[in-house]
Amino acid sequence: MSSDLVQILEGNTFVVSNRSGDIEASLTDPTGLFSFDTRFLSKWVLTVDGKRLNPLSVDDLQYFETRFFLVPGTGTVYVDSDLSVTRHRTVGSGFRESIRLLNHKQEPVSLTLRLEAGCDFADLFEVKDALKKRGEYHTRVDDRRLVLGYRRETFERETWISSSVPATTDEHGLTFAVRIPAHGAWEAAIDVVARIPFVSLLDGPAGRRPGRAARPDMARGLDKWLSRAPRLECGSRSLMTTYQRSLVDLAALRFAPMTSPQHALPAAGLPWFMTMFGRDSILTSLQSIAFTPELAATTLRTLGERQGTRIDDFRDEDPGRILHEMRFGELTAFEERPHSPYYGCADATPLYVVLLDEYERWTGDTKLVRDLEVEARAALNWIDTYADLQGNGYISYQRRNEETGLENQCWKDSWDSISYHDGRLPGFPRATCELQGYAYDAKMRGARLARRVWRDDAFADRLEKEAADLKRRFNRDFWVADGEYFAVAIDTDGRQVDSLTSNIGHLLWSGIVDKSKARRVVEHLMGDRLFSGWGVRTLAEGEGRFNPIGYHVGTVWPFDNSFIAWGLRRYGFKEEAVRIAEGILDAAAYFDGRLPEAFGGYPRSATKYPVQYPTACSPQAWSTGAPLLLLRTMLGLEPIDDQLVVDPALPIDIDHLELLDIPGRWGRRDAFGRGQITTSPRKPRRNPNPR
Amino acid sequence: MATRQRRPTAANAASRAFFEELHAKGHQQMLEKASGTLRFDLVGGPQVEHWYLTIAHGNLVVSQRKGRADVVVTVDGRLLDRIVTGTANATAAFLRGAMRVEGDFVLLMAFQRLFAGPPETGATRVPDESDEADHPERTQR
Repeated sequence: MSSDLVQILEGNTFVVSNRSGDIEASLTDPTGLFSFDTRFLSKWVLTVDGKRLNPLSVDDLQYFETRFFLVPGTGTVYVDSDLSVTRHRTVGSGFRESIRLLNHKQEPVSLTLRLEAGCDFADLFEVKDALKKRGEYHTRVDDRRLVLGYRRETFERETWISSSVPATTDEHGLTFAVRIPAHGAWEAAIDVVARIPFVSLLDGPAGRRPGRAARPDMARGLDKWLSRAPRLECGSRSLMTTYQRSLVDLAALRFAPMTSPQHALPAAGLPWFMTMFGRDSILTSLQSIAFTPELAATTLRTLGERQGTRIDDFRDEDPGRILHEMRFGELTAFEERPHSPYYGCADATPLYVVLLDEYERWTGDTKLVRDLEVEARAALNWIDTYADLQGNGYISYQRRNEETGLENQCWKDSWDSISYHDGRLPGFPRATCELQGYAYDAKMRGARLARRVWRDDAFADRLEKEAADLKRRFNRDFWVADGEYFAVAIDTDGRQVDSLTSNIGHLLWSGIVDKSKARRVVEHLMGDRLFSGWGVRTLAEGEGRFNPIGYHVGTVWPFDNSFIAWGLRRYGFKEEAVRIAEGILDAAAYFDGRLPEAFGGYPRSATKYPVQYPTACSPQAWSTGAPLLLLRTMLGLEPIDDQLVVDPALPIDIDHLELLDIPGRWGRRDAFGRGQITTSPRKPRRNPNPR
Repeated sequence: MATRQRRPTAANAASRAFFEELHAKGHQQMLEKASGTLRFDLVGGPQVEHWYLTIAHGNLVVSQRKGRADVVVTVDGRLLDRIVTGTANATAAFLRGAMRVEGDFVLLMAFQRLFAGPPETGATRVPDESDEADHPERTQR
């Protein structure tokens, strides 16, 4: 996204405008007021006496409010500032814009202020793909309110625009005859409300109401969110900044689902991915569990409510499958896109069980685990049945919706992400390696829950037996003997897709790697082909498709690295975990604490600073969660029985680190650590006591 | 089943069959955590047809006798016929305003799991007997 655009949001309602606060979108231009995946304003232009205004500055006060300081004039030479204008915009179920004019002259002025408004009611997918609308538009002036509307059969969306002071309203906007005394001020508040028939139902009586464009309690809500998170004290100013940034961005990424408007789960990214994504919501909940475990609870409940129950090729739905993505716009409503919800995702289902267990280990909330027993069992069943497309005992994926479904249903979802060493692409179905790791972990964790909460020892025994069998087969079938690493996938002929990738780090996290093989895996992860100095590359240097700025074929992903670091700790490789944590957190400092989705896989020594991969989505949830998981990893936080175990391994530069009031089944606990590890490149040394 | 004698519109035949089958089955594992009463108002015919579905601990009782409801779903009978047989999707219908909902949305979310999937599509993908036989250690629960 271009940096001269300003975006603010609340939930899935957001505004993207230029730096004057104006919106002039075309069908393909991604500016406007959006809510529930529909554009509610495509034109919103403020003029004074027919002239546009120029920005002096823009204050991003909070993620949900912005103030624009403007003056009339062309701005080409200098600014004649007899008049200044501020637009203070706050997002809620639409937005409220408070316009304030200051007359700096010693005499009164009379002028005409005009707000031009219009809307194309484009679906987000239409903005992406430039599709034509099928319904009809209407416009009317009710009393003093301007109503812009769109209807296609029963599908209705309207934008209601009203002002706190009298205006002349026509079908294209509002006009104000303004008279301001000498050195005086004039003010008006304009409410723009996105009217969606089902929204009052979704938000409940305590939520937003029609006609209320902004919620008064949003600032207080953010303060409360920040005060409830653990407090960080440490010797690194940049780490403090990154931590604070992560908490605020995570707050912005909260998305209240239909069924529990008082609770939130992490959406995938701001602003275009402000919706439920199975994979992103689960992984972000895992990353943040030591800090904000309530996000995990809502994620589990909400994804459980929408778990697949049918076989539906259009949606790639199976019984037990956890959804990939939910959307609310016109194309979804008319079944022209499958996102109601779409299920084409092969990892969210095992990860759902992993999150459920991790959540219980932290919080002791056995009630939720009992409540979700049916869902968890259905997820475990999916692994062995619907996901085993090749009948070989491994999870594979292949879309059934060939028109609008997703080809790659693992986290590396771009077209060329899974390749052989020589660059060829395997056919479908594909069984990528990390899916098998997640399946192993899901079975082991499912067994723990079955034994401790569901009181079903026979089921637990069976799961453990299956997990052991899977681990044995996996270490045989995926191990590339001559390279001594795990293949990224098994193809349709059972042959290894033999490129070296970051996926092997996720295998450590899952626990599926034989102890005897772990050291070689770690040597690959920390070797020059994969480790850039900032982090582990998605694809190793020397592979056929390697490209240091290729989306999944050479860039470094902070989220990927946070799970790799966790995996290194799991197998006892503390120093290597610290090296990754330090590299990624160092990179964060270059982005003011907000890690991008990915950055270039150039060697750190070559560029000195991390080169951001251009992307439309920032902050992104699992990049936001990465510093949190890295903090957890460096402090060695593990819930064991009813205790929080702290086993710090920190880089020497951090000196000291304290995380205070960590929530969990123990109430609140503090964790301390001192920097002891020098992270100069060296051979990995194995900790003698892996977990 | 306690049904008020009312001549059904032919358009609602699939919906009636669906409700009657639910009543006959009685228990639904997928509804064990849900409780409350849903009312479906089938519109579009000469008169509105009301169906009450009361869920308690997974037991489901269907009736047409007037009563209290936690959530009311208003939908054209012909559309509900398509939804219960899997040729239309309930969530999509809700999003386009073709299925109006008032009340407890969580209860409806739990209930909608019982609607059928699309006919024919994907039927070959259900793991069959021979698949089970190849992997006896991986049995469906």
